[in-house]
Amino acid sequence: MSTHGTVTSEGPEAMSPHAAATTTGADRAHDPGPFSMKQLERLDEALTMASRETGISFTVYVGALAGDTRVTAEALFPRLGAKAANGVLLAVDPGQRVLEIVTGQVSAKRLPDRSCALAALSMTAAFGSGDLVGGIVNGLRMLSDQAGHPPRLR
Amino acid sequence: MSVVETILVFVVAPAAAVGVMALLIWGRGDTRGPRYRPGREWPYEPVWYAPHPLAVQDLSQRGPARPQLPAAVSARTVTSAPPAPTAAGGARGTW
Repeated sequence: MSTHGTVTSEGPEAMSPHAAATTTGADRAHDPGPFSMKQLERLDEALTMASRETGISFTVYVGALAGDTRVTAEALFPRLGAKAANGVLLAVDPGQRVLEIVTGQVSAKRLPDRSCALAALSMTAAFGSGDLVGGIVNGLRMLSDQAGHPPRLR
Repeated sequence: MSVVETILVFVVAPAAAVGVMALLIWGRGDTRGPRYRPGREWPYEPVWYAPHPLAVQDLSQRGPARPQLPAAVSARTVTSAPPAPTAAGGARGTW
């Protein structure tokens, strides 16, 4: 399992989450994103494990959320397409220091708002100390623990 | 102790020790990414990470198959539309 999250570099208006394809160090050299290769690997592993264990497709957005952050995050959410109903979006705006967790119609049944709030609390604690990737990884782990395995695997 | 020895012991040796430590501390700065500091602006383009599609697909193919209704029955009696792709809940946090 050596897949890495890919990086999209479009504005939030035009973007949709890229399915993670394998990126190499050479690719990254052209696009100096906010995270190092090692951090991206941690992020990718956490995303993939959380999604595999729960069947929920978790996605992580890191960037500016213009205007009302909640409205913007909820406007981004339907761009997950068919996966949106059973998806979760963690939208982090490090500039404004805001985190928004958005759940879909199906995933909300397994991830009630209270669990999301708990994960958000843990994440913002890590963000406050400057650890963006650690906070995201921890939040994904908490959310996937809360959601558990999908019903058909029980 | 000659002058050369004195200089070696009291100047060159400490300088070498400090140099080694400085290299250990700052020499590998490139391998770590830029560090996020709360309160500073975020100059990067937005990025959106998604899991590898196989990670989610794998799961739907595992486990026993779900019982299927005949097509005619499901079309007539079970007319639930797929859930709309809108946000249903979540949480927010600030730091």
